Amino acid sequence: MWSPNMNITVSQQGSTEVAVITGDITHSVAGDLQEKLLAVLCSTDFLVLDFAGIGILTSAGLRMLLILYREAKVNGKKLVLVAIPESVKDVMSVTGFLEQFVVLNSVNEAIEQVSKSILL
Amino acid sequence: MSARIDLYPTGEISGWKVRPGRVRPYGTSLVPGGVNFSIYSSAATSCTLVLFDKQSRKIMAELLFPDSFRIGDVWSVVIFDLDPESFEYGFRMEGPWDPLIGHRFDPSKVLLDPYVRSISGRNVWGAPPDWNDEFPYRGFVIPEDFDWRGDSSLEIPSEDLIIYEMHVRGFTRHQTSGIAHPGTYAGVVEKIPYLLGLGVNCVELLPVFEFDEFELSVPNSFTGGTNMNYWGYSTVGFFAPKAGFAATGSLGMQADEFKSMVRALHAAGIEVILDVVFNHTCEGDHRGPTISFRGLDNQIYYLLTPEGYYHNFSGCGNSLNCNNPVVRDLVLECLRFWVSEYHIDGFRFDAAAILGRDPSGAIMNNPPLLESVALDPILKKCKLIAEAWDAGGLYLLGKFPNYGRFSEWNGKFRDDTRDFLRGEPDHAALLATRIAGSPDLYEAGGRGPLASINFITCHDGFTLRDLVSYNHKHNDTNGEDNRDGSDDNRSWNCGIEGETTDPGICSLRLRQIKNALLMLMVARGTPMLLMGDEMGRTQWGNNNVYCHDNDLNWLDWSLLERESELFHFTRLAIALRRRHPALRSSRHPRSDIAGALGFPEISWHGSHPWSPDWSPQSHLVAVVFASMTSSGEDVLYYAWNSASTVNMLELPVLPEPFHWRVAVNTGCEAPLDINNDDDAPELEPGASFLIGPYSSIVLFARRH
Repeated sequence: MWSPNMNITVSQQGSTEVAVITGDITHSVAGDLQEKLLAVLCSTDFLVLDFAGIGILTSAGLRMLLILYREAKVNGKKLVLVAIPESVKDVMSVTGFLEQFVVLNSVNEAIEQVSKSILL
Repeated sequence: MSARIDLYPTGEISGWKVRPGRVRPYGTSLVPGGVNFSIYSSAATSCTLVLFDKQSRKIMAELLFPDSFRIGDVWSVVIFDLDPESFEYGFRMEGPWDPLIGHRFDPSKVLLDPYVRSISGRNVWGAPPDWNDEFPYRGFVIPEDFDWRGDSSLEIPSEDLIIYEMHVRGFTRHQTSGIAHPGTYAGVVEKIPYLLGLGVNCVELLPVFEFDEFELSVPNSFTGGTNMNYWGYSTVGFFAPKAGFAATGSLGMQADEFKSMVRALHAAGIEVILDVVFNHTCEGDHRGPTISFRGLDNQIYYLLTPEGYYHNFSGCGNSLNCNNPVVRDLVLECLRFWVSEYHIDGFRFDAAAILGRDPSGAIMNNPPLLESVALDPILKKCKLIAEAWDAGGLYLLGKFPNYGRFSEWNGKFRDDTRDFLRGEPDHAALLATRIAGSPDLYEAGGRGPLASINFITCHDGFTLRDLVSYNHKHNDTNGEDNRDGSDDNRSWNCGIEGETTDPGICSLRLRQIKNALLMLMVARGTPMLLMGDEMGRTQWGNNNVYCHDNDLNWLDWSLLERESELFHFTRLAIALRRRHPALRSSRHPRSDIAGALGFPEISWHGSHPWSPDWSPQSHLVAVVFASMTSSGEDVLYYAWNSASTVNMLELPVLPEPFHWRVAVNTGCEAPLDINNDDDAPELEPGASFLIGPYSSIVLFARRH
């Protein structure tokens, strides 16, 4: 349950970077993942995290995301979470994390909103 | 230049990189590069930190503390490269086994850290435990970095507070709650709109410190099932929220969920008071399990008899040695922790009289624990409420060492109101004393009416509906042949024992419930309502439902529809209190101080104005509260006739252009039983008022 079985692939879609993360985001991978995503954030103004394939998002994983989110915010960048599985969304909701993020249904929706400058 | 030289290991123990830790804070703390552990024992000869692998649940390391890692009686260590999400922990203590002088060390046990912030083992309420697990409760480390987003304690003045006593699980566990997370902290959040609609502004939660619902797993001869510790008055960890009350308990995120609940309640203007149990622990007497304190430092943590057995002032096997400086520190640290880390607004201390006992069990004149709590700077603004008695026979109502800070669950308010309600003779004067904020108990020493938490029912005893439906307890379902639970209920069934469809009796019971609720809202002091009383919750005559995880305890939300008249009445009675400052002053009202409209702050009346009847046969109390407020004169007339006959009330005369208006008359059928101020019918000057049998009324003065 706590083994590092996490994967990340990043691709550019228009002016947006999309990171597809699969597997579990736990303390054991949170540090590396944060470093990678911060690096991506340096090269783009819009970062979409596609969570469709994630399994467990632990307390440390949530905190990593929140730090990333705030890092983006102070640098005038936008971080969007999409396709969060219902069970994960539920945990984020009752622990007070969900309301702190911009959450959308799909990558396409995020890109569309970026193109229409809704997220600006 | 930001580096510190103490961020590096100085050596290795059992293959783990370590350095001597910091002795404070006790328990665990996340430090750069690792985790700091600190643990106290005055009599252990050695200490070993035991780390469990979270996934396999097996022991992954045992680290014996070198003597150089001990300062005084405290061992501490920093372990580097320890993934906080991958391990759980406990301690083994070596030391003497000599019960006669109080030592019960047992190095075969892995002990829970008394300061542990989160505990695993009972992550999901009621999930069958692994009874073969030698170490069922294990500590783990959590981040304490919750984003409160500007939240702080509400500090609602006590005179404005309306407390709702509730059980986190019982509030929403019933299938009729219709929410996404029944029985949890998250479930409480989903019901905030309900609490707001009712009008309460404070929830008092039955114990939420980690406890083991399976602790009392004894077969129930009546149900054929197994009893549970449903209430939770048996603490396993004083710094850890009950995981089984969290929808996210299986993920170990109960702390975040709990904080999220507090933040949401605060955002809605609702305070959170915790019912805390410092009088005993879950370890029971000498036959009980060794979970933490017994194996860490038995002689320090418990009140022991000269023979080395446990004093049992709590009725639960042991008594915490609260006025020992080490234990005092633990309690004080715990309260500070919940106020600062969880933004808790106050505490209700279970069987608090024990907290005033010395190590031999004798009553102290100036108990240092209570003084420290009362005067602590971090706790300075939070509410402190004592249950001013204990199971050892110590009864300190009105005399609890309070240092101007502690209020008390007013047991006399409960008893006298119940007696008057059921029509006992010789209670008119006593009821008047309770209406006035119990000056007999709280005037001396200048404590005032806010020292009185007024209540008629609480988790312990009958619900309000049962109070008017049963003459006797019916606790057979507890499996103890109806021996458990109090026999002093002061209840009246209105003619038939238990449920009935007799319309006359049903109507009388509803009226009696309304009379009780109105008294609660009119009396000086801080009112406390029991969860469900606003919708006629029944426990079918059981007055001690501590052991039931079922419909006996779960709030049936369908009552809301069936008992809509009662709910409507309760809501408006609460609103009446909140609207009228004359009911809420922080001082005892006086008959020799001018109030408003020519009335003193308080005046007593009877069938004739200014002529109260305090005789033993009197079942009538009538009072006028009068005060000048920033928004003008506030004058109310409250009368309660608990006789079986009608009574003609000649009303006190108001100066023109003021007339009496009828806010409440429980003798009327709904919707005329209670009115908003603007809809309240006006009485002709000089009119008399016919008060029905078993009825109460509230009038207020308004310009014609």
